[in-house]
Amino acid sequence: MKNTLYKGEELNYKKLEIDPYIPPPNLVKAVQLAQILQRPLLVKGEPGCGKSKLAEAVAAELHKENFRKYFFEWNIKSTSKALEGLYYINNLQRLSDANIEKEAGRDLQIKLPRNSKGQFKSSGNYIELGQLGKAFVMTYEEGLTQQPVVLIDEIDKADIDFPNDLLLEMDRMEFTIPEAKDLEGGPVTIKAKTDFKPLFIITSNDEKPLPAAFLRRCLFHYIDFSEIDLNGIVKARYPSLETTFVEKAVGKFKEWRKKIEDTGTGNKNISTGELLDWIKVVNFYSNGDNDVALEGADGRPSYEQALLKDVESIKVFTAKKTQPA
Amino acid sequence: MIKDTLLYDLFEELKNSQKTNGPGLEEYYLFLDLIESNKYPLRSFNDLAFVLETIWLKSYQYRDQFRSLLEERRNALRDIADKVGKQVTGIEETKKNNKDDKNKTDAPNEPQLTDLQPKTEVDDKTKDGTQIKKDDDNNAGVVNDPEKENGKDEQFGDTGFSLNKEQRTKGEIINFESIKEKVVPLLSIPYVFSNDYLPVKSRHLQQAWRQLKSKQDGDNSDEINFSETIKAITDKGYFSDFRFDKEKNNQLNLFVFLDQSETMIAVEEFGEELVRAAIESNLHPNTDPWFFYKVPQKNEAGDYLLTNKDGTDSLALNKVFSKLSKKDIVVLIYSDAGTFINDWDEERIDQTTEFINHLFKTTSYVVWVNPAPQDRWPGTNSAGIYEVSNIPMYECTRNGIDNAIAGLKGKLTISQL
Repeated sequence: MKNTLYKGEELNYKKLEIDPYIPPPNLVKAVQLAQILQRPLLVKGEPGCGKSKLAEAVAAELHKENFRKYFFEWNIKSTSKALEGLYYINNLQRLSDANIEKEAGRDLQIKLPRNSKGQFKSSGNYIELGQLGKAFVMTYEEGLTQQPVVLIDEIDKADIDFPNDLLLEMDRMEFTIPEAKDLEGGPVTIKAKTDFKPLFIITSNDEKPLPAAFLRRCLFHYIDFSEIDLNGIVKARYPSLETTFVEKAVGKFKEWRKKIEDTGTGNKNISTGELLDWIKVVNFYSNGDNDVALEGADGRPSYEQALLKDVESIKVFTAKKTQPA
Repeated sequence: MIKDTLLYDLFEELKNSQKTNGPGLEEYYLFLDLIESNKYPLRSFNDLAFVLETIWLKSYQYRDQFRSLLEERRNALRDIADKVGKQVTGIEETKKNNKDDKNKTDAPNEPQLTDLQPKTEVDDKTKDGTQIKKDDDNNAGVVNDPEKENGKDEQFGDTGFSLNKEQRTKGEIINFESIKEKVVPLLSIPYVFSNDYLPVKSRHLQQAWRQLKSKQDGDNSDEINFSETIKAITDKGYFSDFRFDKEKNNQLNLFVFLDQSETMIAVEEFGEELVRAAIESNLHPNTDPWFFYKVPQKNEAGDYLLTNKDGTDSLALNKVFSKLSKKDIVVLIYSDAGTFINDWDEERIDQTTEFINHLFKTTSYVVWVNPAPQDRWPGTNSAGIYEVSNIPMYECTRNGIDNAIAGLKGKLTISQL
């Protein structure tokens, strides 16, 4: 089966209804390696550098207009359990049916049916597969030429045991559902196609360490903010803006970013998201005037509310140079 | 060719450089698989270095070290890339990559890890964000990491307590003049003790402590187990009673012993933070810090005595341990053993070793967290204690704390000596 490698191409974002995404060349290479080696790609980088949007962009490039069907997004929360990604059993419905409809002869067993090709469907009697399960099943879809893409977003938000609970499933790309049977009463094992596994992109903000055993199963890439083509991103997002204005604004943004990095005491620096918001605001109030002042006489950014999100960053632009006594 | 000793040696070195989080043999073979697949272009040192970093590097923390090891072997790796690159044909690459490759010429003017190095954000004059450094050590061609150029993360050393290893080796001192130039935000109070002063933050300590558990089912909790309850209903066909989750009790008893000697004054707060974090992790709510001065003293009955912070209460070890099961007792010792003043005191080493041996006999696991930087240990009491007692000893870093707690679980870790 031919599987095209991700190239980071420019897409028709409007038609796809996604935000423009311009990946740094090294990130493209890392995705290609993950595709070739069929390994999950663990992506880290500071907030706002485009970790989470990567998977959507990869899916969009590989699957074009129908990409939503082949893109499985699992946003992790502090309460997330590994099992949620595999399958969900509707216990309350079953309880209700057990009390009310038992005598009516309703089948109370948890069953997952197969399709005409003998492959499991993604939902059944009191059961629905999670994002991972759906992606595994999807690999058998007739005519599928590109890998489904799975995003496990911010894995470090979950409990420390969470990544360990997924080791086997990620390794073998299969899992068994002990509570369920197929329609013939046989066991239910959900498995991805051996030679056509989904592409896993996992993001982490590094708030918690990930276990060594989990890391061993992943390829690792750190997105350096300095590698990001900010001019390109702004132009892609706001194509009507003049190039000179964009370059001037991005130049100022980089200068401020460095200033915060050098003199700030907070743990948050301004990032791509803030840049896009800020440029939108500046452009809105300037009515397209390219010579609009981007900063005040005191060096503070214009419309700083869109840019500076914490007190420590604001202090960088308000503090006078004084020495402690 | 691929099973070249050089490649394997490099793998071993890169693996060891990442301590316990390094790649396994599987990753070594994964790289070989990539070569065999003939699907990815490995035509230059940069290509090869990028692939090795993506497959073998597991933490951003070790990236600079990883890159310098690759850089040291530039010529040999380029030879490998030359051989491997010829096997790969018909690769479809991105326009950007092709554009990059046009500029690539292997020796002698090959760019230095250009694809790997981040660009400086403000100064676009340096095309690749890297500069060729020709310093006093004749390191012609060594890449200057822009982050290091900016002094980022370097000023206060690896552990947060001191200069880093390189600075110490070169005999560099902190340039206080440059610090004076820095803007001090008006509303900040410069010397308040905060989480940022700790080499490992509280939040991470709590996460680490949460890994130290040996849970056993206790009595029924108040939590209804819906799955089991509903399963029972569907099995019986009617509701009879609720099924409850079992309480999970942590069986481990954690003891943290903190050194109160003079050399610990600057770093003693971290010891107490270790205990606070253990309590706040909810898994070790009964952990109290117990203190000693240089070495725990024996009483007349031959039992070791530790005290509370003010010395108004004491803990006799055997008396406490005898009430507990040996397998459920774990001990963490936090002390520099006099390393901060380069102390070599054989009497202290002997007494400490005797104390540690006593702990080995009466507890399940004992580890030592040393606030002094690792490269200060040789030639001091720390090295002496380790060599004689073989106690696992770890530096006060994120990795060191993780390893120490893994050691308390009985897992094999690489002790840092």
